[in-house]
Formats: sequence, C-alpha cells, structure tokens
Amino acid sequence: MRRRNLPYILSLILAVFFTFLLCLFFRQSLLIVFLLLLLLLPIVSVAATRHAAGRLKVSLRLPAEELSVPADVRITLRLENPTLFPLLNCEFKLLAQNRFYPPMPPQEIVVAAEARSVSETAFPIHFTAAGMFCLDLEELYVTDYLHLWSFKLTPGIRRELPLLPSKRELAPVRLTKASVESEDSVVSPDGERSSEISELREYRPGDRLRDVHWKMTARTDQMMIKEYEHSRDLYFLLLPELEKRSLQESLISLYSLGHKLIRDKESYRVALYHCADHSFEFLPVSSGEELRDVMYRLYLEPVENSSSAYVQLMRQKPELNGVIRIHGGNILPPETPEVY
Amino acid sequence: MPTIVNTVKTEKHMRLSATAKRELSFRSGDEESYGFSLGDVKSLRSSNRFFLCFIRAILIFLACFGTLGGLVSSFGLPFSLPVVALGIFFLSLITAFLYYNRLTFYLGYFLVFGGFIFLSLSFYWYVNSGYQAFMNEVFNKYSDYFRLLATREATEFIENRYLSVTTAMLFMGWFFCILFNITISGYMNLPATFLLSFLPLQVAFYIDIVPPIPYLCMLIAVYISVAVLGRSGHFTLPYRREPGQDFSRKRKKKKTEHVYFASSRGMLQIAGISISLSAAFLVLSGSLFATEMNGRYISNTVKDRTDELVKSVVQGGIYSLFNRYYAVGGLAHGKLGGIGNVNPDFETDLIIRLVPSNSTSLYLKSYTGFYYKDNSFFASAGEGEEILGEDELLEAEDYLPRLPAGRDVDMDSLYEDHDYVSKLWISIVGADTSYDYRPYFTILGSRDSALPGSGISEERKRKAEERFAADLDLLDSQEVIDSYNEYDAIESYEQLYLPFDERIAYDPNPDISPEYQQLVYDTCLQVPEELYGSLEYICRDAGLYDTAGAYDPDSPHPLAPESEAELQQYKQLQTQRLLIANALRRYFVKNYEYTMSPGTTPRRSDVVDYFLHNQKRGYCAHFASSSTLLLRHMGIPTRYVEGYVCTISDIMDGNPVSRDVSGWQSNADSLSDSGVVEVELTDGSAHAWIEIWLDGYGWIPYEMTPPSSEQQNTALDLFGLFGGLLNTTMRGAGDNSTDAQNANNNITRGNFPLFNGSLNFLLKPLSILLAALVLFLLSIPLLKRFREDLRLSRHKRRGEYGEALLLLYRRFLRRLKKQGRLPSSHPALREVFDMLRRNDAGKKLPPEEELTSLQYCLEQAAYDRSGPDAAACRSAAVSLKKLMR
Repeated sequence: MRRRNLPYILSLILAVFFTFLLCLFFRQSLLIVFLLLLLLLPIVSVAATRHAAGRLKVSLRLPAEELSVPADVRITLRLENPTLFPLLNCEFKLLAQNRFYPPMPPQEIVVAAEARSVSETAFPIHFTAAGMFCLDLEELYVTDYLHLWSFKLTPGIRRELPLLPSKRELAPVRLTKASVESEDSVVSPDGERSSEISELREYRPGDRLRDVHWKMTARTDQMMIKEYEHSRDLYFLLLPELEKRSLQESLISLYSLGHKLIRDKESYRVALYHCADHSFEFLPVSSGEELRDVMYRLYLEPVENSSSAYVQLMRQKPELNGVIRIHGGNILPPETPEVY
Repeated sequence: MPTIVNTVKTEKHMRLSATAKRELSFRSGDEESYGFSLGDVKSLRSSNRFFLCFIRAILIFLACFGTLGGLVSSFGLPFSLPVVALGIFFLSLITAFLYYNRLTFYLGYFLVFGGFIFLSLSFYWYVNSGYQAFMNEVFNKYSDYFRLLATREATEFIENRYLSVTTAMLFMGWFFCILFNITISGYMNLPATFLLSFLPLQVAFYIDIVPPIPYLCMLIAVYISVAVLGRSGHFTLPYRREPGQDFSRKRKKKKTEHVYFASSRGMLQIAGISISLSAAFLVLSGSLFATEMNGRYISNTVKDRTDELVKSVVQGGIYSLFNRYYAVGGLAHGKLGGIGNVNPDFETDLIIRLVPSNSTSLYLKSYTGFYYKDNSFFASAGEGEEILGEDELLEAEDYLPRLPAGRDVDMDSLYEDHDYVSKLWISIVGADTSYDYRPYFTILGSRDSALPGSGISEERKRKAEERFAADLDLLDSQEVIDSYNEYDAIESYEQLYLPFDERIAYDPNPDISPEYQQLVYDTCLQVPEELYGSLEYICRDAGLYDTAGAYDPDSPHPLAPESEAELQQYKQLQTQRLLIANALRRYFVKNYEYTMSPGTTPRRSDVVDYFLHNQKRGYCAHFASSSTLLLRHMGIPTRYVEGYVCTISDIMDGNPVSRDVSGWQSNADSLSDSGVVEVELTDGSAHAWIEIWLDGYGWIPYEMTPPSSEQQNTALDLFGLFGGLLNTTMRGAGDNSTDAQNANNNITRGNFPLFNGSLNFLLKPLSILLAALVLFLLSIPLLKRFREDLRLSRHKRRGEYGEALLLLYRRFLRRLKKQGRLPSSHPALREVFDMLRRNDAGKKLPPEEELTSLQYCLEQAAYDRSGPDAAACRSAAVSLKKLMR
C-alpha cells in the first residue's frame, strides 16, 4: 500500500460506514445490496489486479543501430497482459541519464495494460550530447481499479545506449608518432635500434626524417621510408583530456581525429586515463569498430572539472614525447614536433 | 548545431501556443542540463475517438434506461419497452457524441436543448398525461403504504396510458441523458451519477417496491464502470485533447508525470467486466430483494423523521417542508400508530395569557374523535357520515364541571355553586388554525372564524348572553386583543371559561336534549367488532367488571332526576362510570409504560390491540385511544380528544405580564392575586385525553395517561438516534408482527446487548458473503488443480507430451515443497534428483536406471526443442507418479 492509496481507503471505509448506517435505519434491500457490493468490490478489484500484475510482462525496446548525436530515438515500453483483466493503473518510474550529466528527475508514466494484448508506449528522446545513455525501469506500481492497493513490481530493467559524438572537419595539423612498445609500453625513440629493415614504403606525413631511406629515395625519386622490425611500435598516441567544461568538444575532436587517422590507414592508440588510480591504458585502434569501442570505454570513465591526464602521463612516462593531446576541445599537437 | 536548433525553435515558437512554447523551453533546458530531452509520450495503440464516445453512450444508456425503466416498472405502468429502449439509446448516442470534437460540443448542445424544448412543447399533453399517470400511481401507492387520507387524482388528458407513459419516458429520458452525459462523459463522477439514479429509484424503494432486477443490474454496472474509469483517469474527452496527444504531462518538483489520457479498448473491457460482474453479483444477491428482510420497518429517529417528511410531502407537496403553517403541529388528528418516536421541535405553537387559579393543568381542546376505524379516530359519527356539527355537539359542553385529571372521584365536589369566570387570551403562532383550542369549560369566545370546527355559533352566543351577561364585558375588542400580540402570530382571540376548581352546583343541564343524548349513545359506544375479544380480555384482566359492580350499561339514563331516589340512582350511575375509568387508569399505571419512543404499529395490525397486548408502552395517544375503546366496551360513552395542555410547571415558567388582573376574571377569589401570566406552548405540550359522558351532565375530561417513569430526552442525541433500533417494531407483512411482538415484549430500552438482536437482519447477508468468501478461498486449490488437469489433457490431446510431463514435474515439485524437501527455492533438475538419490536411498525409489531415464527425459522436455517422444514421456510419467506416491 502506498500513501496515495490512503484517501481512497478512507473514502471506502466512510462509504461502507454510511451505507451500513443507512441499512440500519432504513432496512432497504437495495442498500444491503450496495453494502455487499462495497464489501465485495474491493476484494474483487485487488484480487483481479494481483492476478493480472503477477502475469504482466514488461520489456524495453531500444534501437539496435549505432547512434550519433544529434539523434532522435524512440524507446518503446512493452506491456504484455495475458489475463482477462485490464490494468488501468500501471505506474512506471523511469530514470534516464547520460552518464556525463546529472540524472534527469524521475519520469512517472501511468499507462493502461489492456487485457489479452500488448500495450506499447513510445518515448521519443532527442539526444544532443554524446555519452552513455542509461535507462532504468526500476519500479512498477500496479494499482487496483479502486486505488486501494498498489502492487510493487521490480522489473529491474536497465538499458544502456551509447551515443557517439558527431564528426567535424579538422583543420590541417602536423602530428608525430610516439614510440609505443608492442606490449603496450612506450619507449623513447632513440634511433639506436639495431633491428633489421623489414620493408621500404612510401613516405606518409608524420614519418620521421631519420627513417628516410635516402639512397632508395634518390634512386627512385620517391621519398622511401624504412620500416624496421620494431617500427610497428611507432604510433600516433591520442590522449583525451576530458573536462566537464569542454567535454562534448573534446569527444567530437577525438572522434573526428580518430576517424581521420583510420581513413588515412593509420594505426594509433588512445591513452585512456583512469583518474581513480591515475593509471593509463593504451588502446590500439585501427578500425571504426575499435574506435567505437574506445569511445564506449571512455564513456564509462568519470569526468573531472580539470583533467590531470597529461601531467600524470608525463610524470609516469617522462621519456614519452609525441603525444597528441585532446584538450579543451582542441587537438594539441606534440610540444616538440619533429620538423621535417 | 546549437544555431540550427535555435532557429527551429524560434520558428516553432511563432506557430505554437503558449503552453507548447513553455514546453519547448523546458525541453531546451533539459538538453543543456541532461544532454537529452524527452518528447511527448505516445501510445502506439491508437485510441479511437469514435469508440471512446460510443462506450460513453452505452454507459449513459444503461444509467438512463436503468433509472427510468426501473422506476416506471416498479409502479406497474405500461410502456413500450422496445420504443423506450431504442429511443433512449439513440438519445444517449446523440448526447455522448456531443463530445466528439469542439464543433459538436459547442453546436450540439444548442441543438439538443432546442430539440428538447421543441418536442416537449409539441407533445406537451402526452408528456403531461404520462407524468400525471406516474404521479397518480405514486400517490396511490404511498397512500396505501402510509395509510394516508390524502388522495391525488390528477387529470390525465390522454387516456391511453401506454402511449402517454411511453412519450413521457422518452421526454424524461432526454432530460436524464443530458444530465448523465455531464456526470459520465464530462466528469466520470460516481457520486453525481449515483445520486441521479439512486434518488429517483428511492421513490419505489422507500415503500418497499423492488424494481425488476435487470434494471438494477444496468445501474450497478454503470456504478462499477464509472468508479473504475473515474479513478483510473483514462477517460479524457476526445475534444479536449490536441490531435495526437495521448498523455498529459505535468512537471512537478522532483518528477515529471505522464498520464495516459484514454484507452478506448480498456474502457470497453471495463464496461464488459462491470456488466458481467454486476449480473453475477445480482444473480447471487438478488434473492435479498425477495427475502423477508426487504421492507422490514424498524422504528428509529431517522426513519421516523424521513417518514414524516415523506408523508408531509405526499400530503402537502414540497412546499409543506418549508412552511410550518401547513404542518399540523403537535396534533395527530386522530391518526394512531404511525409515529414511532415523538420528537417535538419545541417551536412555539400557541401563546396564552391567563390568571392562574389553581395547580391543575389547563386543557385546551382542539380535535375530537368519535368513530374508530383503521387506526384512526375520525371526527365523523360513522362511516360515510358527515362530520358532526360542532354546534350540536358542543351545546352540551356549556356550564359543565370537570374533574381533576387522575384524581379519585369525589362526586360531591361536582355539585357546588359556581360564580367564577375567567378570561384566556390565545395567540396561534404555529398551530393549526382550524381549531379554537377551547379550555374547559368555554362560555364564549371572541373568535369568529369561518373555518369548520372553530368559532362560536349564534345559538351559543345567545345562551352565553343570557346566562353570563355580566361576564361578557371581560372580552376585549379585537384592537386590544391584537395589541397584546408581540409575536408574529397568525391569529389572536379571547375566550371566557369556567376554571376547573369552580364549585358548580348540580343542576341538570337544560341544554342537553334527549336527542343529543341519544346521539351520544349511538355514536360514542362504537367499537370495531374484531376488537371485542381483545377488549374483553383487558377489561377482565383490569378487574373493570368488579369495579363496575351493579353498573348496567343498558340501564335507563334519564336526563334529569325527578325524585331524590332517582337522583341518588343517577349519581350512583355516574360515579360508577368514573370509578371504572379510574380503575382502568390504575391498571395502565401498573402494567403499561409511558414512553415517547414506542415504535410504530405494524402494518395490518390494530393500534389499540397491538398496544394493549404486545407493545404495552406508548404515549398519550395510545392510552387515550385504548381507554376510549375499553370504556366504550364497558358501556360508557367516551370520545377521544386532542389538544394542548398547560401544566402548572408551564405556568411557573411563564412570563408575568401584569399584576393587575382586572378585566381578566369576575368573582375571583384570593388565588387571583397571582397576576396575569403569559405562557408559550410548544408542540411538546400537545396531548391526548378522553371525555366521558355523564348522563344529563355532559362530557367530563379525563386524563388516562400515566406519568412518565423515564427521563425523556427529546433532543437529538446519539442514543435517541439509534433508540428506535432497540425496539424492533416492524411495518411489514403479517408474519413480521410476531418478531415485533417478541422484540417489544423482551427488549427494553437501553439494554445494549440486545442491540445485536436488531442487527440480525444484516447478519444473514454478511454471513452469506463471508461463507462465500471462505468457500472461494477453500476452493482455490481445487480450482488450480482442475485448471492444471485441463491443461494436462489439452497438451496430451495436442501431442505436446513434453509440456505435459513438465506439468507433472511441477506438481511433483510442489509436493516436495510442501514436505519441505526442496533443496533450494528454484532447484535445478540435477539438484532435485541428487537430493532424491541422497535422501531417499533405501526407500521405495525406482531403480537407478529408471531415475536416470526420467531425468534425461525431463531435461529433454525442458531444453530440447524437439522434446522426448511419446513412449519415453509415458514411461517418464509413470516413474514420476511412482515418485509422487
């Protein structure tokens, strides 16, 4: 029973009491029938509601496709009532939140679950911010026809809907790769590697000058680059520094740059900063799916007012240079770009 | 992106209403705060606007047809059922579809009202005749029920009742459809709908007429539907919604509420369930209408008051409720047995001014009853005769002495000289103006009313002028009389009278003619034949025959004794009469109880017979009426009288007006020094007593009511409210009276445990309800088992052996659970079989191979889409049954 049922219970008690008095005073069969009806109806109402509520099936249907903001999405709440009794008062408490933002005040939705049918209710949502959208269907109160009793059901339905940021055109920027060990450890590129050349390839923007195979270049009239055995360890390293103030811009920049690099057939890594223990995780990205996964991983991290990711990275890996920072919504090239 | 959004928003703002603009600004705020915004929630099941109106039309039809059909059928009036049903259904459709959209709403009501007025004018005489036919029937039934004297025969201009009642029903149906449309379609309001249908039906139910059950079924279905739909909130009118709007959206402090507007399919389902439920309910409980419980009357304050109001309305119309002038005040006009509780309102009925002369009460006589029939004393000499002329009957009252009420008789005191005349000023404030309220013994009054039963006849005036010429100067002019009137009185006048303690010498009354005395003997010895046995029993029980001694009712009664011996014989005869009356009064004091709440007399019972033998408790009217008949049975001419009594305590509480008593009395003695006193008499002072005829002497007033032994609390307190319920007086069928007798014999007022006895009538239905509930609860497992068996056989029939096996397995699990042997709340198959092997090892378990194959078969049935084959299932079922055993 909920507090809001009390007025109805009191009104029923009053009705029974007054009908009883009228029965005593007037002894009318109609009044006695009413009295019996007033006594029976609540029982029927509560029993039928209990019967139907126990068999009610609740589900939430979210779009399966990948979504990028801005997006208009329709979430469907399905109520399947297989019984003969319609439930007119099904009250849902819906909690919706983008994890990067405070939760929206609860939405109470009162719908009817018609008998022997599926009642569907659609919630149109307009998304303007990227992030992990969470939908919780925690409580469902099924109130009987006379509002005397509410049965609390806990569907425990929780759905998450990741929303990718929009892409934007990037201004030309000169980037360098950082040397990253294949075991995801980063070493300083000292040029002292004694490994053998595995292949020669054409120059691509960002290649270091020291890797140019000058002889071959001269021979072929094309800038040829030496690919060492360990040259795979040279990647673009993107460090997203997510701050509340410029969160969406940073996400957009990261996502746009990531896509650009993929388009350029570049493998790169994203340094994921866990602010709880100040550790870093270097996630390799070479395709759109991997970038999406990285974004989803990023959505699960808390956002600080001012990010200390770069400071921490430099403290932990002072030898690392060539880190591409995504800071304040902008892409900051490495501080010591290699001039070529 | 933000720029684009703002542009779109601005365009929308230009087109949308203020509410929509506010909603949009809310949503843009949401986007900034939460990263998303929620649009209008929509139901994917379209609620059909036509359908929503149609269901409303059905509910309106049920309410309207249930009310009108039930009401008219209750009174047995003829009407065309299909025409009325179709007509009301059509009208219900029209009124319900007024809410289809804004146009139909705003335009439709004008058309509906216009059509209503036009048709009511066109068919005025049909409608009027139908209405009058209904009202005539209602009044007839009410007159029969309450045994009212009023009859109502309004003219029905169209004699064909079938036609006129049908037309009137359609007319009323239109009216009710409009009202029900407002309460059902507009507000889905149960109290209003209930009152609109329940109150008209009370016209029938109040006098224990039960309408046909189908009509009640319709009404109960409507009540259930309206209650359920009203509380669900899913009934919003189609025209009030924006197109495509399914939910209302309310922003509150900590939440946002979205409530679904209307579910047409849900409404239909609720209406269907309500109709089925009410039908089933009335099938089960309908017998209540036919049981003896129906119409059993029990006396109580509320019922008696409503009865009085209803009777007042039936007799005097609604106006009588608001104007006390039309009420009869504290007088019952000879009607007996209908008042269960006497509850005076203590509003002033009369104001009198007088010079108190002694300590006895002053009786102001108004109504005189002669002929007894049907629990009433009529002011006529016999059945079918005219009311006796006041002049003729009142002639004999002049110059006659009277006796102190309730005192032993001393005949010598009657025969003394008199020389004391007093004046009484009377102002009628709230009493019936039809009477003069004459004190004993009036000489002459200043009132000259044309009303029958009031005023002073010319003959009487002449005699008064002859014999009391000197005293007539006491009467003031009308201006002086009116000048005393400081109240909003209806009428004021004065009367000259001989006060009680005047010693009057015996002198045979020359005004009493032999014809009059014969008339008295002819009219005032009337007793209904059916009461002879009953009265005889009481007379013997009271020892009246012993008191009477040699009294011979058939002995000659000369008007005036001619010799001393004759005078003595004459005095002896009159003394015997008074002694008999006195003995009867003592009998009443000893064996009967005075109460203001005796309960009413059962219908078809005689009030005197019921009072004397069963009730044995009552108020003044019971004692006066009974003693009238008992004394008549003893051969003493007696008549029943009503009026007001002014007791010495009333006089003591009165207001002294003047010390100067000159002009108020003549030949006064020392008592006259008390001054002039003004006394207000309320309806609580209304009283009934009797008058005994003394041959050649006239009518002697006699008080038969014993003093009250209880402290009467006439105010409306809680006990008074329920008091009547203790005295289970019933006004039902004949067999009810037995209960009533037992109740009245055994139950005494204030005996609280016996209050339960008065609740017996409710115990039966409540116990039936309780028993039905218990039976239902007990039968739940059986019903479940039955349903499971049905499912089992259905699965077998369809060849779904795996499902059938699982059903059996579930039953097996339930049994284990009952035995407390389940390894966990939701055990896996493997856990159950492990438990069996572990705990039941050594018991009558099937062989291990059988167990294994059973487990395998169950696993197959549960998880394998193809399921086990029929043979495996059969053997598994056998093994399972073995396990269950």
